[in-house]
Amino acid sequence: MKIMVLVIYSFMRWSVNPRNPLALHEQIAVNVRQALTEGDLAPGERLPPASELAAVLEINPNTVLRAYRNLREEGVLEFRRGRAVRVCDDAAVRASVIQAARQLLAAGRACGYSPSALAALLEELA
Amino acid sequence: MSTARYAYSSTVVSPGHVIAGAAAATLLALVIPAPLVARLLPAAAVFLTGIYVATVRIAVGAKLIVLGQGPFGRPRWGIPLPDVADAQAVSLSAAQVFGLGVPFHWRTTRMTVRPGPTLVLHLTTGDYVRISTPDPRAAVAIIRSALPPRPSGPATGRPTATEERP
Repeated sequence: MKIMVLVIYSFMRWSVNPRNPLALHEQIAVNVRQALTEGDLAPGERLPPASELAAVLEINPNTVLRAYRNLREEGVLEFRRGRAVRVCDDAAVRASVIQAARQLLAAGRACGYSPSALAALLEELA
Repeated sequence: MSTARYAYSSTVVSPGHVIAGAAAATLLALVIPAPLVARLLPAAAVFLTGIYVATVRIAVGAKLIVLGQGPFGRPRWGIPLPDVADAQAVSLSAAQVFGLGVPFHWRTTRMTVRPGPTLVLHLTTGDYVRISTPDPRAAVAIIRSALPPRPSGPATGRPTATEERP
């Protein structure tokens, strides 16, 4: 959360491309993770409601909700009844670790490693 | 042709408005010479107004701009891009935001809670909307990329030769 002249503010830049092979909900999640790792989003900041974001990005609200739910399962976002979707306190660390794990998974797949083989490799290295 | 869709969203909260609302409500409750209930009702209205005007939310897309005020962002105001003639990123002074020095204009809707970067929408109806947002340039870039190209030439305010043709 940023503070300027006694004002609390947050902002996000979003981009999705239906031609991208990555699913739309994954692209939205990537936007959030990138904003976290680059410091544009901070713990406690609010994300726009799914319906609002879906309207401006011209996608289905369920797609945005799916992205938000996936991020909640990863521990990046938290939903509270009657309050907006917010960024968790340790979200930046989690997001960067998850991003690194995804890259490792992609590199492992390219080299013929299965997820279990990668897990075994990590156990061996630890 | 790229099919990438860009959007920008922001929320600005001014705790000063909440504090000012609470102070005004307290003052009102103390000075009105009336029974307790009659004093509390206007005080509560002033306090809730302070909370309501303290939060400004905007989401900008290539076809729609959604504005919201208050903690719940209601009522939500959707402005389709065809209704927008132009958008500008300006920096307002404290005097322009809080009253003194504001260029008086009947047709301006102000959703400004602090001095500094502000998005100004010029609607096709001739109305202006000012919204406090941290990065108005990003919003302007999205809006202008979606607007039809403006005719070149000096801005005289008169219709161009092309527009004058029947």
